[in-house]
Amino acid sequence: MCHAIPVKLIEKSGDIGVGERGGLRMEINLSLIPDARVGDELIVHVGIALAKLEGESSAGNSGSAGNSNEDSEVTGRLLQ
Amino acid sequence: MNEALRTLSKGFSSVRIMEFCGGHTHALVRSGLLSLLPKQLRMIHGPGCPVCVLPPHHLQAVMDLLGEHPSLTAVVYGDLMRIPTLGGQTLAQMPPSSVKMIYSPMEILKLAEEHPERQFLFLAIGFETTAPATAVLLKELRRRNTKNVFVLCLHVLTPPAVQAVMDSFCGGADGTDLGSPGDRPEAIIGPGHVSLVTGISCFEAMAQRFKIPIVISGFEGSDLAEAVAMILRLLQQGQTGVFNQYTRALRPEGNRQAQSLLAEVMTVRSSFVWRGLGELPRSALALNAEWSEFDAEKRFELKYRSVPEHPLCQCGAILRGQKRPDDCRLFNKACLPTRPLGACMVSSEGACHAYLQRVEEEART
Repeated sequence: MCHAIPVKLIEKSGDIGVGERGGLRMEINLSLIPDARVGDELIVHVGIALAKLEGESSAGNSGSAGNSNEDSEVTGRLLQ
Repeated sequence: MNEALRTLSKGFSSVRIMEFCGGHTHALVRSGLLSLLPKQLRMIHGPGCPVCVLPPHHLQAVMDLLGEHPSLTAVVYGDLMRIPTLGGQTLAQMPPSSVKMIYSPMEILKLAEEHPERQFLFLAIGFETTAPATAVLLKELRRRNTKNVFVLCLHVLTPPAVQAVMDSFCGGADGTDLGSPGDRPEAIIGPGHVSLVTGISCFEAMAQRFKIPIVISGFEGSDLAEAVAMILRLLQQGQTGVFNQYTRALRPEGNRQAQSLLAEVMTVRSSFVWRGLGELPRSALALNAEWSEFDAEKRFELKYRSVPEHPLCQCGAILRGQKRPDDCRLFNKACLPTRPLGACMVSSEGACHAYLQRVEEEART
């Protein structure tokens, strides 16, 4: 229920946008992120954008704990 | 990664960490992190699963209402479809015209326009993450002058639930299945997506009251590993307070737009009954008087009946973090995702559902 996913905004018309993730497209309500721009990575929950992702991209990250470059970076950070 | 956590864990004989969110429990299992954590780290699974904490008498009242109003359709998020009510009946067994499953509340606008002859009752459940979507729907209903959609607002609030779980480790009124203060979590992994809306300051008082670090985390396995590492470092340094691991998305102030909208549309209930946690003051939201034209509690007479749980179901103690799913005698025997007896097995965010994945994974290896 609190599941939210990173989605790339590819079209915007007023408060309505089209997002893409993993080749799938979905309509997104942008009324809570009014400054969203095409190209932004958004965190979307039940069709509503709640936040913008800054910096590193997470769209398409599988979330596996043991096999990504991200993990080796995190391991480095953990030991800092 | 595991080696890094092992290094950080040296010097601790045991550490109890509660992850509040069911989404975090699920990610811990799915990523394999739960099995990889050093042995002295004990994860306590919190009640952050909206479907799990909803007492089934609300669903029963809606199902009874559907029986009285043939032109009424209940609109629900998918996880509610299979929650057992009296006699094991579920919404999934109702006629298709009586129940519609949605991904987004905005789908209701189309349903209402296409079927003006019907009335729609939206079961608006979920924590602060989901409440703004209900508020956006309400604004749009008013803008379109829609007259055939009503909202049963059952949104719940995270901080009172976290506090109730922490308090329950000091013993509670009913005296059953309660942990001792010595079992209380020493740190909390806080809810990343709730905090996108609320911001992080609403957890500060709790961190100070219980003198613990609360680290708000993202939902990837690597986020959770980093959150655990942050917690270990903070415990080593004796630091308390609220810390943000989910910096790529979470602004400390949250989403101001969403906060304003919630304040405009909803009000805090004086109290609300939670499954597993009992009645908690100021822990849920209702529509405020300005929006009563859309309020299902005003439009319909909802009759509440008691819905007894299976006598062996341990959902309550599991939601309080005092039992694990595999402590329940029904788990993976009588209670399975295909025929769940308790809510924690229904929802993919429920701890029992997550643990079943772990059992299946272990069976494969």
